[in-house]
Amino acid sequence: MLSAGIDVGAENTKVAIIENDRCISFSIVSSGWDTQASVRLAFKEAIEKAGLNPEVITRIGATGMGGKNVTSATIYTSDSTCGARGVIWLFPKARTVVDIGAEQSQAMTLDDKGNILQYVRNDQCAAGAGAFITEMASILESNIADISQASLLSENRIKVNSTCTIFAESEVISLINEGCHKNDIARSICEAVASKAVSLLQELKIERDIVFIGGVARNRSIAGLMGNQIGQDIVIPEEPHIITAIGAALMARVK
Amino acid sequence: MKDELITAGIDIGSSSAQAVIFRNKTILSFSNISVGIDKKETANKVLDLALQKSNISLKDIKYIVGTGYGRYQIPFASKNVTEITCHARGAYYFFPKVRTVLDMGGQDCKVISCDEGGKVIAFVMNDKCAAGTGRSMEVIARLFDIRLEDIGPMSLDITEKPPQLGSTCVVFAKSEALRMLRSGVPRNVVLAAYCDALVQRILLLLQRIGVKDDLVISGGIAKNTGVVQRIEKNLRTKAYICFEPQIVGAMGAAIIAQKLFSEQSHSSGGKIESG
Repeated sequence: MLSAGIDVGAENTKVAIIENDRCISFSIVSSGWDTQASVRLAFKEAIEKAGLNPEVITRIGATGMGGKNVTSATIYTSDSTCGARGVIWLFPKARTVVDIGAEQSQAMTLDDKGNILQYVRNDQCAAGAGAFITEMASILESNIADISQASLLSENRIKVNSTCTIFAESEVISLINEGCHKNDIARSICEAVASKAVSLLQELKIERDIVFIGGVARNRSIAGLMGNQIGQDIVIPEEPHIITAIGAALMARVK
Repeated sequence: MKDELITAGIDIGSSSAQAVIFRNKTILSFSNISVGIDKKETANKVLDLALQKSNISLKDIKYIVGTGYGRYQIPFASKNVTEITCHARGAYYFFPKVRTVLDMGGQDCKVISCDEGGKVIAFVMNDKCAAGTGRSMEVIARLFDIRLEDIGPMSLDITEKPPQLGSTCVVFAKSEALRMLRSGVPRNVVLAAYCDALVQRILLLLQRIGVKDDLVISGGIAKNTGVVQRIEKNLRTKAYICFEPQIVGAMGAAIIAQKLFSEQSHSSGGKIESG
């Protein structure tokens, strides 16, 4: 059975195509300001990678911030449900999910079928989400991948005290002017995000396995720092940013 | 010569600093400058400026009270008093019927409720989130490449109802504003939507204390007509703003300096020359 999932995030639009028991292709395109255009492009790319004709896909699940605008979708589901479904499909032993995207962060505990038991979300504050890293990266004149690399090389721990992205920007500028090493500043940025994620997790009764998904999970430094802070191993899928789209594709099968 | 009690109040904030020179019940002069990296230097500079504008010198000042975020770095202050107390007292000087003070500074936002004598009853402060602070206005001004003082008038000059922004977070609001602009929404309408969102955040803070008339607004954002009018409309009340809303803290400090000097003279049994 063939189905597609479209996750229209604040920053990126992800499409995943699944067939039977595996994901056969995926794509990621910048969401921009024209949702329809980015959805079309992302879908086209995923279809081409899978070597399929677009007509063969009749089941399309949509999710994400802009998911309700996907006119071709046969079902719309919340990103939390999709994230949970995607995770349990790939990691049957998962019982806790942390999902950090560009503009939201959420954590949930699941049962063995992927039903959500407990849930907490922050989508009102950029700190603790990808937007925080994007803003800081631009001040450091780096891209977001560099931040992870640099952080992993850091040898000194410095702390950023501001919990607000806007105020933290000023702090980071001061640190740069004081001559702090870029690697150490990068690490403090990653620590700030990791701490916020840990605060979310601490609201729940977490159990292993703990799986980290969302675009920010591509930052290995944050995953490591999170694991250190809670004293547990964190599982990161190979392509953490498309797990929610996979979940959306799974939901489309049901209908 | 009649004894003239001259005092000064210095308010060193996170973004700007003010000084007020006060004699009896008169404001002799005041100054308002941007805060530099060296707070001590800023304190000297802001007082010097106020002195220059008056025709008195430092030695004429009997008592100086420092307040604000940087109050511990004012070397010549005889005493430091919290900005909460000073803002309430300063607001009371300008508007004796004040019961609620909303102070919107460069990097913080506070609501103070006071009694009929300008004494603080309760307060709540946001210094953790940029929304509702001067910084949130600087961000949008930079994005639109306009001056701070243009935001208010532009945000009010609209003919259509602005769409609602999804969040009060400055980072998200900025992204959404950009998206709106690119999709063809007129600049003034986007500014209106942005101001609406930030005012929501300010209203939340106000609700935590409860607003009682008269409401006085102080701080830099009091000069933003867009924000002020939206607050007035939402609360269905009139907000009172003095001729220079940024000096309210320093004003309160200068008045408290008078009181502290009198207490000091009485307790030490000092002579007050008169004639």
